[in-house]
Amino acid sequence: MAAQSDKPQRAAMRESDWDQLFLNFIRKRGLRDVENVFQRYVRAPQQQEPEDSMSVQQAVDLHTGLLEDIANFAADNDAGVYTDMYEQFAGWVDNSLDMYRPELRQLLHPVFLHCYLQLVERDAAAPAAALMAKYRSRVLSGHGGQPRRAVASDLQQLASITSRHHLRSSPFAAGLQAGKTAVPLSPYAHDLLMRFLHNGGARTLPLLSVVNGHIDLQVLEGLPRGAAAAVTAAEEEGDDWGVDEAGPDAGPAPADAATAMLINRTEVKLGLLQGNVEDLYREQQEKQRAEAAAAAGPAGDGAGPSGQAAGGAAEGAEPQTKKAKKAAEKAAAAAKAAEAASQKGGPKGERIEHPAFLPHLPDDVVSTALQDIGARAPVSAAVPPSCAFFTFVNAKQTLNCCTFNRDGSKIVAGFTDSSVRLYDMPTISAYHAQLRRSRPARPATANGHADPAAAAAAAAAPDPDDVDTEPPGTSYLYGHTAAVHGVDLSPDQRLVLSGSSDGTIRLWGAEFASCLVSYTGHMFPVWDVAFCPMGQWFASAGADRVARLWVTDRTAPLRLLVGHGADVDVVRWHPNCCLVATGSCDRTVRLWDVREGKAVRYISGGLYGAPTALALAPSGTHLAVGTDDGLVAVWDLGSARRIAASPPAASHAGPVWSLAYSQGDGAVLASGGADETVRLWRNDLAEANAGSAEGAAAGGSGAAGAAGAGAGAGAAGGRGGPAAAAAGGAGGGVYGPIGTYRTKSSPVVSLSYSSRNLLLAAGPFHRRGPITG
Amino acid sequence: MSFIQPATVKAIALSVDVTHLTDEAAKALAPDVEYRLREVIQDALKFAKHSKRTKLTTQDINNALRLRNIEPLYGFLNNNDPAKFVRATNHSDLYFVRDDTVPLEQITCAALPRAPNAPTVMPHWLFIDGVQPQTEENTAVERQPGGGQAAKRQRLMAGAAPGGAAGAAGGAAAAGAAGAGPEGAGARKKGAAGAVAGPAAAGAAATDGAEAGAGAGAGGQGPGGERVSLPVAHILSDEMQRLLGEIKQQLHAATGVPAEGPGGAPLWGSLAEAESGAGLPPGASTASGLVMTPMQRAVLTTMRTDPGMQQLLPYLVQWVGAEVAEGLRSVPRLHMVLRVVQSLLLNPAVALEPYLHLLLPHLLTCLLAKALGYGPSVDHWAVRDQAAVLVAQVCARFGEPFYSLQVKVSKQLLRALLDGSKPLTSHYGAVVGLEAMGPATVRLLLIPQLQPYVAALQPALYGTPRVREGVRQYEATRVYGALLRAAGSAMYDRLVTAAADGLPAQLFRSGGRLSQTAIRALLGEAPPGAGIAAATAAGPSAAAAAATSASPAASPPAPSFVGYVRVPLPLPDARHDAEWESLQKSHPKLRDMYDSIVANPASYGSAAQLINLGNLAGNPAHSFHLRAQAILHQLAKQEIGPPPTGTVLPPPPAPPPAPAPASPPAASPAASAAAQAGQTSPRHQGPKAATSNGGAAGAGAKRHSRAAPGEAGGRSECAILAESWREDADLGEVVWALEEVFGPAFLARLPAPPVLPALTI
Repeated sequence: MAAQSDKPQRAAMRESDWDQLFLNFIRKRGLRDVENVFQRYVRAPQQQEPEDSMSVQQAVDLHTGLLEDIANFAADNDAGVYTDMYEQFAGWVDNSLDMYRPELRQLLHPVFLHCYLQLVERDAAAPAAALMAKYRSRVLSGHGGQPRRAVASDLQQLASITSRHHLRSSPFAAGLQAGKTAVPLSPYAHDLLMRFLHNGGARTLPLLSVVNGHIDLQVLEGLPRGAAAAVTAAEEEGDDWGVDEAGPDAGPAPADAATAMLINRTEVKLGLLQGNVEDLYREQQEKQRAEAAAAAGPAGDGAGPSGQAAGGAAEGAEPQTKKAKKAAEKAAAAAKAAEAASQKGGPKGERIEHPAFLPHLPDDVVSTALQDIGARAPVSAAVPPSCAFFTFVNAKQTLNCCTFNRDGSKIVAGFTDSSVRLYDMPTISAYHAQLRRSRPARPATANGHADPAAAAAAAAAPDPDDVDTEPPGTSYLYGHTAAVHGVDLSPDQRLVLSGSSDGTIRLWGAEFASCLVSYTGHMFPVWDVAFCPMGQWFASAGADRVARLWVTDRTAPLRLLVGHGADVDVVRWHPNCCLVATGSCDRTVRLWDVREGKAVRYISGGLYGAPTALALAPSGTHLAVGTDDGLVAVWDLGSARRIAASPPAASHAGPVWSLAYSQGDGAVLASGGADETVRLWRNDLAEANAGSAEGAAAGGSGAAGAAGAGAGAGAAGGRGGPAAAAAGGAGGGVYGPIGTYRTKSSPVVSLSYSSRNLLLAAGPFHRRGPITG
Repeated sequence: MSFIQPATVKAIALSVDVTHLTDEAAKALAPDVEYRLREVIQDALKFAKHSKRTKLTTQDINNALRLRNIEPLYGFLNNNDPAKFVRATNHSDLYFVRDDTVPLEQITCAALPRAPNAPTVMPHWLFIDGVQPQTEENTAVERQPGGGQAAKRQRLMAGAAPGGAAGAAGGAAAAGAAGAGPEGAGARKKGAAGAVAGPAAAGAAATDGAEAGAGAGAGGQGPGGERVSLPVAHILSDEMQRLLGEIKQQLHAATGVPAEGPGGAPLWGSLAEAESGAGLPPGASTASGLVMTPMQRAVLTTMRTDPGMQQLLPYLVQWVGAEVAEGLRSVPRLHMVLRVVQSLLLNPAVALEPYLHLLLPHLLTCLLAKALGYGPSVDHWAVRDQAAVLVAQVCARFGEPFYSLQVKVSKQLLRALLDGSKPLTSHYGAVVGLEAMGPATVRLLLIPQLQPYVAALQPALYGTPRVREGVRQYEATRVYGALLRAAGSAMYDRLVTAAADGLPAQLFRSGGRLSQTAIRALLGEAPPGAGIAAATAAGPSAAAAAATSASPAASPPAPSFVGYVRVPLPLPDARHDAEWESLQKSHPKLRDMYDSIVANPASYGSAAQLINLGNLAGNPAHSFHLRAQAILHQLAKQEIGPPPTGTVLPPPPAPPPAPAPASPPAASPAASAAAQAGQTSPRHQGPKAATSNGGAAGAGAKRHSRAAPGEAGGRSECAILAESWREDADLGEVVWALEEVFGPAFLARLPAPPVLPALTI
């Protein structure tokens, strides 16, 4: 348009020209009413004009450039107003409703760009630089206000424009000023913005002019998801944020890209700790094998392939190690582990030094863990795990969270009634079995189709007059004054941690069922707690948008992980204990360095909803995220790229409450959700390494003929490998669904693999059908 | 896009007494209110999310309010009591919750609710090596939105097993289960072995003793992996299903007789009913309730004889329940239901025991319901009578295994009778029900309660001058009649039992039922007379009792007893004559009634009619007041007048006006006594003779010795009745007390043998 093209000159116009300009424009547009009004007010002080015509709709109708001039006038050429206004706007966006914040954030970057340009145009270099610095620091710290389209080239090009002269000559600035940035908004977000602009009075006038002049607000009906989805789609197409950012009209680009870029360039060590239990076990096996080889060397086939060697070694080592029954499996596992170890290498094999601040695991824990590894069932897509489901009865709408100990014999559960309960499963099972025996003609079993609740109710309340006597095997941890939202067990299973919406975290002794410490750092509800895999440290996440790191012997937090723009919902430790992953309502997931308390990875794109569950692969390279809209997605932490996401057809139909990687190589990811299903996903990246190893190991054991599994095992193993590979190839993704298992009527609140790879799941029984969206 | 409109804000402001909110203020407030609301909801959703719920609760809202330091909303925490939303007037889309004022005492004094059951944990196998066993803890239907990968896997596994049959797949899973162990999911010691060997060594490992549930469940998977076992509790063959359908269809079309004549005119209907209720065996009227098609008869016959009914029993019992529930307003349907139950009861091949607890409530409903059929004019009494018989039969038949059955039912009936809040129709049902239980039950439960109950019944029986009292009065009459019948038959039984000791045994061998002629012959043997003459000297009650006009010579089966009163010829009254003429034309039955009274004024039926007429005539408020007076006038021309109501019955509130001047109560005893002096009734001899023969003290003498109610030292009838159930109770006293309670009408019932209504099928 002509009016737009001569805009730069118009900035230099004199005030006396304005009336004429205005009139000309109005006449050209044929706005007779406005002309009349203008004629009437032309004698009046001109400051009245903008205030009178401040209705947003009217303002939009007016020519944008003209309004900008009016705004310029109202701002009285005070450069500071832009800085203030931007601050104000950013603050407002940060404190808006969670649901609409991502949409409103899209506005921050264009607003910043144009504020900067305006400042430059006014030759206010110092405020412009200040603004730029502020913005940069915002982006760097990742503290809220992440702008949309704040790409590196944007900032770089902008930084090169420091004077009005540059402005005129820069094609980048011209492009910015000529075009409009399209920002999709949901209706209510639009309402909010309009109200903010409207209520600000004269102070938001510059902002109003920027919004009117350079931003094309597209009001889309429906839930505010549309914007995020568009962003995600763009993200999926080109994962490369730093390359192509030619014009502002290139369509929606990844949100928070700058933040992500700036943060994700940080170097992070994802390797496991030196001397971790898996390595210890491997070493042990190596040593045994070497001994056995040394012993059986003269007699046996020392020069064969590794599998055969393993088989022979197992056979030789059998009498002196453990039970004869497990010898074959152990041999197979050992062979596999050796194979995996030899095949892995590279970044996966890297180990980091045990940091000084971390404690070492007690010896008894290590020895138990080593035993468990020896007895661990190999789990893969070909050999899916078994799952024991623990149904909580009489706990509908009251069970908030629960966790299992290493072997699933103890369950810790947090309830809405502010209690934490400890269930000792062997005792409870024995009690139930005894009840069943004493009541053989129970109608529930006679029918064959009784719901577990009836049976459980009968079991739970053996005598209606006797409700006060609880079934044995339950201990109560009373102390919280509000609902308990997160529980965790220490690695030695002696301490229980619980976080409650009364804002406290409590540490309990599991053996004596008594409270040891109360940590009162959070101001608002604590949503999640997680014990460090090595013990002593733990992390908490809360509604105050902060995650905290603690050690058990101090009542004040050691680190505050600040940066999330909304409640931090879930926190998990990286297996190397030097990193902590958090998921937040602001639809981001961050990885923090424990030592420095800094964010080292920032994951925002590709999340449709808020993350509700996190799981880190045992190898430490993958992070699985479950969201409240049923998506399960996996990121590679090293590159901070999404490597897999559940297809909509296979996704959960409700929020994902829990995620767990299998022990060992993490070949099977399990997810459980509010749609009352447990879903299994194969991890081909783990399996690609392990699959061939497993086949070889199975073949090896078959060749050795050490166990009763016989030739069938080898055949099955041989079949399993190609089948899995074929499935992986057909699936097209590195993660693919294995199966869906529906519970009777229980949302799956908690999932975890026992140390021997039995999948443990728990959920409260709902009598009604599944609650799905 | 905003949900909160300024109008809404104004309405809310009005509700908190802010009347002067300007439009601008409302307009400014509305967006802010909405924003705050959204904030609270957002926070509440967080609480729901972190409680792993997808449903928002009131507790979440309160938590969110507390988080923002706002006083929570009280009174909405009980999830069982959902808030009721009321729409604001003049607002189409504004709803609010009505705040009830709950007194604090109510909350503080309320009993504590029962503590919820303690949450506990039940472990089970969700899946074993990726295969879900079909156990009761797992969901029955296999739904796989994820593309059936697991099903494919199962098929693959089944194919891998050499046998290929379901057993092989079961074996594979069983191996896993066996390794994993049944209960302690944590104790997966052998689990590793099982998991390794499971899918591969299917054939080899099937020997291990698998946990029965998991093994069997996995066995049900089959090669297809999609077999679903549905719970089928009861399989009914096609033939039986068709039979059941036919039976239901036939029985459903139960129709009643077209409305009978009396139905149109409630008064005369009621009079006729009163007669049948008080005088005739009720069985006579039962047949009129239902008209059955031949097909229905055949169906009922089938149900009575076919042994196959046992299979249909659950469905028939269900049908009975539904039919009673639906047909509560349709008397024919209830009749049909009762016949069905009767048929099933008679069927020797049907074992009703397991369904008694379902059947009895429906029968009791038929017996005790407040209203059966539409309106008071419907003959629901017959339904109740039949139901009473059925209940009694059930109690008698199943009394052996369920010894407390009769006690429980009787107690329930008695409770219904003594519950003053229940309608008289229910009372009637209770009385006939107790009567049907047998004389012993009546003596034990009913008679001790008689005196207060009858006293309480008096007002209803004789009515207060109020509109619409007629129905109630009629009902009271029915109850009274039923009581009379029950007490009479019970006492009869007792007397005969007592007399049996000294009587020829053959009299009692006729199936336990004495014909009236037999008993009359028996009682007539007693020498007439002794001591009865003294009756004249006694008070009005004795006089009334003695005022029996039955001629011993006349021996029609109808017991002639409570008499009429001879009245002088009335003065001619044109008004009553005209009324009478019109009545004769419009209601021919009245003429019949009149004729029957005139023909046999001393019969009991006549007496009852006369009593009723007298009551009606004495009640100017009643709509049939004039008619009754007209009839009485005509009867008075035959020198027949309504009898006095005896000691128990209070005299009519107002003497009948001019046409019946001769019927003042004071005159009648004297007249009748004079007229009947010296005459003795064999009925009066009956008790005396019987009791004296039985070795008890002379009932007659006792009675007369106690005849004066005010006599000092005598026990009150209430006390006598209360102890009447004892074996050693003085029968004479009891009879006297009952007479005191009921009036002379009782003596008329006394010799009537207990006749139970029989169902005609």
